Amino acid sequence: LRPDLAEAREREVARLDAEILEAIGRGWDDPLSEEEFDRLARDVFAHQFRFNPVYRQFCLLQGVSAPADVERWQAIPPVPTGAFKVGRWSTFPPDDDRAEFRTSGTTGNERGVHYLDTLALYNAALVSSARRYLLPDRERIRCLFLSPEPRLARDSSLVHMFAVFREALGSPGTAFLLARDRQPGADALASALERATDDDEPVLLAGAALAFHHALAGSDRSWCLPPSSRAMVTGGFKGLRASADPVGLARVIEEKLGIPPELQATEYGMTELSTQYYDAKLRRALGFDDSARGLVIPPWARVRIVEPGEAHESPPGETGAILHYDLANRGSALAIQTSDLGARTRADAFELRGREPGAEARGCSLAADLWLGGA
Amino acid sequence: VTAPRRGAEPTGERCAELLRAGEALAARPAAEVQAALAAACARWLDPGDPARRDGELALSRHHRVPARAIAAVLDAGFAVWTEAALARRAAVELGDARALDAFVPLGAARRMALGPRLAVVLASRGVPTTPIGDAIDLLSVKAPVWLKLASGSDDLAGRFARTLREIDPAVGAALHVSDLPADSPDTAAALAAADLVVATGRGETLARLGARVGSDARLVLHGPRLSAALLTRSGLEADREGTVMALADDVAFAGQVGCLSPVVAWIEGDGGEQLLEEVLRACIERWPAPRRAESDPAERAAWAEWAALADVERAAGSGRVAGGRDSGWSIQWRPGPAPPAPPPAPRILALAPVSHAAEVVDLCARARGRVATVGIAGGDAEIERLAGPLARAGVERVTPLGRMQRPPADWRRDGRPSLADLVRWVDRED
Repeated sequence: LRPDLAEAREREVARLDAEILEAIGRGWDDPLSEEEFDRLARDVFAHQFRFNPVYRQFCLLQGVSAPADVERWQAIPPVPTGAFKVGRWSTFPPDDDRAEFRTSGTTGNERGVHYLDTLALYNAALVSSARRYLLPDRERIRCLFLSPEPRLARDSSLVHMFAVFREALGSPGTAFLLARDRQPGADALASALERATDDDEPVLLAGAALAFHHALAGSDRSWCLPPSSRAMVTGGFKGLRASADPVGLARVIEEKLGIPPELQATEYGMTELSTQYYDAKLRRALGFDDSARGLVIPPWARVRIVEPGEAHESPPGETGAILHYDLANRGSALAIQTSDLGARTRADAFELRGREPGAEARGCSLAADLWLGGA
Repeated sequence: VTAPRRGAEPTGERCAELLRAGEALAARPAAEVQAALAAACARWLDPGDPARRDGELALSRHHRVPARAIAAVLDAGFAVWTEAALARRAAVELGDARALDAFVPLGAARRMALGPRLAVVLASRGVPTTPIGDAIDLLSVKAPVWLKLASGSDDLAGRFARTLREIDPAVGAALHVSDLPADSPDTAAALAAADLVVATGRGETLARLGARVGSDARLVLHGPRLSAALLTRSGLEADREGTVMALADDVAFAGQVGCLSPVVAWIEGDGGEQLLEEVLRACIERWPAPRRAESDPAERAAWAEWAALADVERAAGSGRVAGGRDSGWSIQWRPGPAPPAPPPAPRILALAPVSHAAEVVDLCARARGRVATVGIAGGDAEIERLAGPLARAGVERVTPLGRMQRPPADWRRDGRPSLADLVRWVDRED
């Protein structure tokens, strides 16, 4: 960028970030109105249009030749998640990188990268949601993460989230329990659970569904964790369809840890997003009024459920493709298109449907996979 | 035998019937069994056969394509299983086809090859004839088969089983086609009773299958595979139109659902982008699938994301797509290196340039272990020159373009013999 443009970009970033942080800070107490969200979303879009030339070209192909062509936030052209694999998808130069999170990948598949020039928006968004949906009843809790330590997984957005949890929400005894090879460290987990039981200290046990499955399903040990202990389960059962039953995992967590299903929160996030979604189950169980069914959309984000391949929204309750609009994604893509399917359950909530979100593309030999899935 | 309704039959009894049918097969010469299988295939190869005519119409409705598209699949699928081909395969793979019936001198001993007492096949929702091929493999070694269809499959396997029973009731009784749900007690019982399970799927899924079968059962697993095509400079110069037609024959076969359909076609030299529309037209002609807008939501969503990504690539200065949402096919021009990769939705083909044909060896090596077939349009000498390096790069089969979908009966699927994997050898030493 020319120096004058770079300066303009920095000024714009500072203004947008301040407004987005304010929006996140207002949270659910004073949520952004539709008009406020619309204005801010279109400002972020204009910024991304200006400073990401590939996105600008992409918008031209979608019939949007200038930010002014977008009259409502719903018309912002969404970027497919695959764009994070094609090249650098950001509005800032590499020198400004503060973090890069990589999508999970399997052999032979490219991994997408989400570059961030600041973690302020990311961290603010994740703490705000976690406080509301994981810890509405207390300031801090002993956190046990079924993940490797942050220094062993610097490019994992999930591990980064846990690192922020440790600082913002964790009390003494908080620990990361997976070894370098990411296999559950059975001893570490057992001793952490025993310590929590001995101390009569409630815990938040957090991790991917697969990690819970590996840690607990094959174990013949069980614990009765102190009351108010809770779990946060994220991710699907990619490659584990034989157990792709959230109810089954919830039962295992209850049997092995003594955490009832109503104290097991579900989190849904994507590397390409800066905002996470939670269900309100745990919050309700702790006595807070929240009638939302499905995954709740924070006030600084929006989700559209659209007819796949079309621009118009699916009727409430009908299955469609999920589009995300995340203000905290200021430096990358505010609007993200996925092939995941879902349905709206309420104005501010949705649920996932169909095959496992984020599942790999299907080749010729899906049979056993379908079969195991109870097809 | 008819394609059963969900929850229609008691499996304990069905398993017992299959075991009895297997015992009856064991007493018969394998050649007789193979002759019955070949006769059933011949019926399905005959366009005038009533079962075939009905089947064409039924599959045409199921797949929402004209009957002629189905006919092409049936012709290619059933043509390979002739009596001679089945006998030759048994002889080649086992050393002596008579080993399926008795102890025969083989190497340092007299040996006999026994098929499983009961085999379960977890079939793919792919090319309609593929599950039948799995059943034929097993019946060829005199094993009774519980064939579990994938959800959403057409009913060709059930129809074939009916034909087989008409031709030879005893052989037909050894094939049971089921579409019972995976979690039904009956299916679980069949799996528990089987001493051999043949399944296809993703590697990680197959790895977990072991927990679902009996402890003594053997698993024959077929992991995910892809195929690719190479259009050499000489091939295109010699017969451009014929080369495009051959590519479309291989790509569009059964709507590109099989692992032998190329997902990428490499074009040697310049001018590849000009082939986009031609290839699109030829694919539509062979398999006129409904428009994307009429496909199921999962396919529409996956395709929409793919199409948006194609726009991103175009915005980044590369790539072009022929075939949008008003078409059932999409052909993409990808100027960069393009190793074989599974498309997110069916009926998507990438065309990508290579400067020299030899470059495809490295591209295949980047997908090592997953490339089933490379079809090459070029001279014999050129194909011969590439075959060795491609083999060392992990490719399992190299064939002229246009023949990718017609592997011989003794094709080494996944690089392995098809019968030898199914039998247990018994040695008798004097």
